Amino acid sequence: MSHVDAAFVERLSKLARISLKKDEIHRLEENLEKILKHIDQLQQVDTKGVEPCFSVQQDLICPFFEDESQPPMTRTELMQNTPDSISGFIRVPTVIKGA
Amino acid sequence: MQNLTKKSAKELHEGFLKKEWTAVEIAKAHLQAIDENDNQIQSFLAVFSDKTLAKAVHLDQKLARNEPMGKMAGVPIAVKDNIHIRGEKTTAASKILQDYVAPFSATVVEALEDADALLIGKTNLDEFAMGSSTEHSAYKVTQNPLKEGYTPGGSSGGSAAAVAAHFAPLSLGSDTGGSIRQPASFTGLIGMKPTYGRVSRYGLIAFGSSLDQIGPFSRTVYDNAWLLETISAPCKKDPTNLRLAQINYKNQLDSSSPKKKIGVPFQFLKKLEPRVRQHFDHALAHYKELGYEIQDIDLSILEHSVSVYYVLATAEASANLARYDGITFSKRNPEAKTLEEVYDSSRSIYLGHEVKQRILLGTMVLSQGKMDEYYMQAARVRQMMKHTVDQILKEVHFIMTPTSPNTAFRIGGIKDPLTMYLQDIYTIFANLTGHPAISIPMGMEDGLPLGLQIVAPYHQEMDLYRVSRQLEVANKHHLTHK
Repeated sequence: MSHVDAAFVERLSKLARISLKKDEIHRLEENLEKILKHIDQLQQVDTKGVEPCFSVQQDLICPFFEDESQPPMTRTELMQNTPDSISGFIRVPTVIKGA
Repeated sequence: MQNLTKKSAKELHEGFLKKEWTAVEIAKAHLQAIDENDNQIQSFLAVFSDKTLAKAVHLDQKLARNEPMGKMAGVPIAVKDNIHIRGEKTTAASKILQDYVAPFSATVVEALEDADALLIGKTNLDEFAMGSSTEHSAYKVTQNPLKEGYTPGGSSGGSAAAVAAHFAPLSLGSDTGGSIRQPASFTGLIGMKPTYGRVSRYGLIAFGSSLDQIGPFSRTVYDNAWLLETISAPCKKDPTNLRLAQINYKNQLDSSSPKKKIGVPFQFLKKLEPRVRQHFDHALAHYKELGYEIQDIDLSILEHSVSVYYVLATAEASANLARYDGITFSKRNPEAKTLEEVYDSSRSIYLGHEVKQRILLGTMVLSQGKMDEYYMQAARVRQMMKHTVDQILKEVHFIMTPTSPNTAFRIGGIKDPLTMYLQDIYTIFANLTGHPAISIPMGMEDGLPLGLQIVAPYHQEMDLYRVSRQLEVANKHHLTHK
């Protein structure tokens, strides 16, 4: 069983790239603790020799198709939802320090 | 003029072709109902009044000129707002996609446009389809049209409420752990989650990619079958789409079938509320009368289904939602000064609590040192479930359970996340195993409906419709004799 404390939640928030406020951390501590307690029952299931299932289509036939080209979306279409752009390029804050 | 919103999709379409009413009259009747009543129900996030009317005018002109007509011409259909309609917003009920305009249409939407359906609007959902009540929408809380103050279920609660409130005879939802079937149960509708791979997911905002399927809501079995056959158009853009031939389900609903064995996991229903159990037993008794055989089956492995689901679905979600980073197409915090702040603060501000919680849980189960304990173990138990259900469905033709352990609950009535997750206790396994599953009304308790869930072997949606149709006929008979 994983011990859930504030440090644990903060470590996850770093990995997931979501900054969290104090009250959020507290609420997540409580909730994750409860959820993990429930999920931990899985450890009791004997799965020795069982292959993991990542997709039910392991034994359903997933067909291939011809490798034919399709007309692509235009740059304008692709960029219409970009929050910040300049001359058709996505703009982000300066990454290289001192540049 | 009769009230067109009371008609089924079949009646609307046929009446339109026979010129009993026009497409414009159909469109106006439904738009007016939305206009008058959706301020109470709150099922729509966007209503396409002008586009719907323009399309209806076009259809009336086509009919006047005797031009070939699409197969669902004149039928209003509402679409869950995590499915793309080109040129319209897709918000997934999240602030992070508040301004997002879909640059392409989902395959299911293209199929409906080709069929000349009237795509009337986009419906509310739990943010990114994560929830069982539609309370986790960043925009509005949808009411159950059958009882004020109660949820329509979720996550496709807007799509369910829209059909139950007669704003449209049909709608599309998506189902990752029960998000079509549970709202169908709560609102007295028919809701179908097809076999994984039957319906294209192209243009559906991904939540748990190995679990997600798009499916229909309707008030009649016929309409549901009709919509499924239309949206199951083969699609090359979704690599998991099986590209099966479309089946004409709706014309075979009343044909007889030798498949009469029903499996029920009685052990698994032990804790069920007596009143829910009563309705379930009543439905089973009805099938018995029709010559079905009821058999006890052992599905004890399913006691782990909620755990397996919340490991695998959150793992997949944490990966799928990594794309909302404030850089390419999702909302960016304008205050962010550094690249790190763009990521961290945009996701912090514009994602809701439930979504963050699931991303964090998914991040945890995939993290170094925990992956084998959680993610791999859950995937192994999933394999065992799939094997068990597969074996059982070789012995019986159907598995039946209630869709939900309860009727619709009050808005704000469930605060604890685990209690909310346990809402899906009967529905989740069909997503984990990929089998088709339907929910159909089986009774009413205090003015709120209860659904019966039926699960069938892969690709046997036809059997699900056939057996559902038998209960629908019985229910109607029952009601007219009241």
